This record gives sequence, structure tokens and C-alpha cells, in this order.
Amino acid sequence: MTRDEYIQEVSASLKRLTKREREAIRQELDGHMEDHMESLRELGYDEQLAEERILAAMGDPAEVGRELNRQYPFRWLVVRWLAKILVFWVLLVLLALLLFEGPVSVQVSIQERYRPDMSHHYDPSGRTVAETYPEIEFQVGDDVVRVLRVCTYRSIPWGHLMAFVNLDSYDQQFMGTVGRKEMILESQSGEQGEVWIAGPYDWWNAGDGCVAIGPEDTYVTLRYDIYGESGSIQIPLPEGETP
Amino acid sequence: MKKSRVCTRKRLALRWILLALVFLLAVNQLLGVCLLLPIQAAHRSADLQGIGQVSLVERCWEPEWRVTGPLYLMRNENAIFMTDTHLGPWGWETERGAAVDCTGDAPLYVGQYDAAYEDRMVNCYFGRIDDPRIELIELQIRAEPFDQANPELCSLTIGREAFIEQEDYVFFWIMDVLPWERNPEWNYGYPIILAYDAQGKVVAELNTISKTS
Repeated sequence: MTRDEYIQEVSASLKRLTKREREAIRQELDGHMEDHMESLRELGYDEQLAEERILAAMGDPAEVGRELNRQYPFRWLVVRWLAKILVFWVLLVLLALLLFEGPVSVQVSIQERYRPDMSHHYDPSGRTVAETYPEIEFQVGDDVVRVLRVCTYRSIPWGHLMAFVNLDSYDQQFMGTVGRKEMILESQSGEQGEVWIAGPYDWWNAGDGCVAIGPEDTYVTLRYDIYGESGSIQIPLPEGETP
Repeated sequence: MKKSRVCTRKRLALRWILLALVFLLAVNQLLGVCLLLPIQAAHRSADLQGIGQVSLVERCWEPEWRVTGPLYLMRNENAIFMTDTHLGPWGWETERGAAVDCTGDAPLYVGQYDAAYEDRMVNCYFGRIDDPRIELIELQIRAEPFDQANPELCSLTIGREAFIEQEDYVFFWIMDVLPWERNPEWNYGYPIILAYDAQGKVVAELNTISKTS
């Protein structure tokens, strides 16, 4: 039996191994035998004798194959395949998200967190009298709520003086989910309007609300009572006319 | 000749597992997709409602409505919440669900959640019972006031033996799976929850779902 025939016999007795594993074993065996043959050549053995001695020392090829099989338990191959499937599935889902939903939702959510863009918010439905950007921020549970803009405007068609507030909300944790919120906007005379902060994305919500105010009013109050957490925030109204 | 090192299967498998876990953790946490368990989807739905951390009260699987669609009743000390989940190509997903604020001092808090799938729908009425006198909950689907010829269309009751007790709280869950094409008379009905004590006296009546008495 030659060295190559020995290696082939060992390979033939290997079961449930991948091509790469078989090739690695073949190279390992070949390299091992070559190293030993080199040593024997240095001792003065000729090529054929050195090969015979090596093959004798290696032992029965079938037995070598069985021992190698024990080093490659099938269960770990299955585990590896399952883990690979999981990884490729996740990548596929990400790709589908990118193609169908687009990166817009993620991009906007991140961008709005650090640099609010009023083009993603509604405007009041009427003629704006004055507006201001108060930079008011407070916490509701795990979420941050921001008052981005306060306007006073004249409603259409009756011309009533109204206050309009734009808000947004995001989770304290980066890319954490933000919960929807329902609040009340109250004027100094007790008039109330609903404020909904919900959607469009799971990581960033926008909302707004309006309420009728009096000409002498200087602030409106934002009240919330959400699952045991309540509070109120005074929001100063802008003065004067918009330029 | 350079020796090639044979990397064991176990080591390779563990590397792939680690990679899979890292990927999964990232997409679960950042994007809320590729959820491997339905309970993860239910927790995410509760998060989106703004309720916060919740724990499981009851899980129900109704194959007549949807084979891969367990429903979850969850709670914390301030709210109760119900949602349905389903298995899709992106993992377990969920609808928004329905939440009820339980921070008042009412004897009973009730919510309603309807979920539709293909030609079936499931109507769920759930709640938290804070009055220990309540022994029986009755759901009535009543006709609108103008339809006095048929004052009551449907009635379902649930007794104390079917209440769900967990720690210091008591909950109930009434569920009905209906065909999408319901009885046309029901189109004009509205649900009422009645709570009775042991003597049969009405302790609480809610004529609008998701508000307390």
C-alpha cells in the first residue's frame, strides 16, 4: 500500500464529513506522514523503506478512520448549520426591510432624536399669529417628550385664537421602542384639547394638539396621566406676530 | 510543508452560534424584528402601547381562529393589556393590542380586543377585578336602543372558578371566535359587562368597553 492509497482508505471510512473537513484531514495526514518520512530519510532510510515504516506505524486505516469520525460528532455539524441558517435569515430580513420599508424609518428616527426637523410635523390649520421653539423636555416613563414648537393662530373660517403645539417622543435608550401617549392641552380659561403622540415609527413618535385660548393668555398647560404617571407642564405662548 | 490546523466542529459551531446571537440581539433590540418567541412580540407590543414592563397573566391558543396565533393577556400594577401574535417571514409579529389603565379605584376594569384573520375573528373581553365581592362576570351584547324588539342578542358568563388569580390580582378573560360574516343583527349591538356578587346583585356595569363603571 502506498501513502496515497493509505490516505484514500482512511478518507473512505470517514462518514458525514464536509468536503472541507475531508480535505483538511487529508492534508493533515499527508503532512504528518511527510514529516516522519523526512526524519527517516535523514537517518539514511530509502524512500520505499521509509514509507513502509510510516504506514506500519500509522496502523490500520479503517481504525484511524473510526477514531477520526469520533472527533467529528454529527450534532455539532447540525448546530452549525442551524446557526448559519439563523444568520442568513436575519440578513435576508434586513435586506427585505431595506428594500420594502427602506432605511427611512430608521434614518428619520435617529435624525429626529438629535436634530428635530419640523418638515416631519403638521402645521396649524389657520393663519399663524406667532410661533416659538421653546426647547422643553420632560420624561414620561422610559420616554423623553419634547415640546418642539408652540404657535398661536387664527382658525379657519371663524378666526378663533388658538394655541397649537408640536411634540415628539423617543425612548431614553438609543433605538428603544417608544410608547404612544395621550395628553390634554389646557388653556388658562379651562378649555381643553387632545394631544396624541403616536407613530409614525416604533422608535420615534410625533404628535400635536390645539386648544382655544384667550387674547390675554400667556401660557397653556400640557397635562398627562398615563398608567399611573401624571404631571403637567406649562408652555409659554409666543408673543407678537410672525415676521 | 505548512500544516493546516483542523478546527474542531464544536469550535466552528460555537463561533456561528455566537455570530447568530449577536445578529439576533442587534436586530431584536434595534429593529424589533426576527423575534424567535411569541412572548417577545407580546412584550414589544406592550412597549409600543407605553405601558412599560409587563408580566404574563395568561396565554391562549385558539387554532380555530389562527393556527400560529397565540393571544396574550399581560399586566403590571398600572395596566392590563392584550395582544395577538403570529408567525411571519420576519419572525413573530404582533398587532398593537388593547390596553386598560387600572390606576383608579374602580371595582372593575375592562378592555376589549378584536382580532381578525382571513374570514374569522376573535372577540376578547378581558379585565381586572379589584372588588372581592364580584363572583360572576356577564358579557351582554345588547341591541341599540331603537331595536327594542330584540333587547339582548348574546350573553356569555364567567364565574369565579374561571377567574385567573395571580399574586394579589384577579383577572378574567372571555373569548369568542366568530365567523367574519356575523349575524346581521349583531351589527347594531354594543357590549356591556355586568359584575355580580354572590347574591346576584349587580356590583358594576360598564356600558362602554374600556372604561370603568
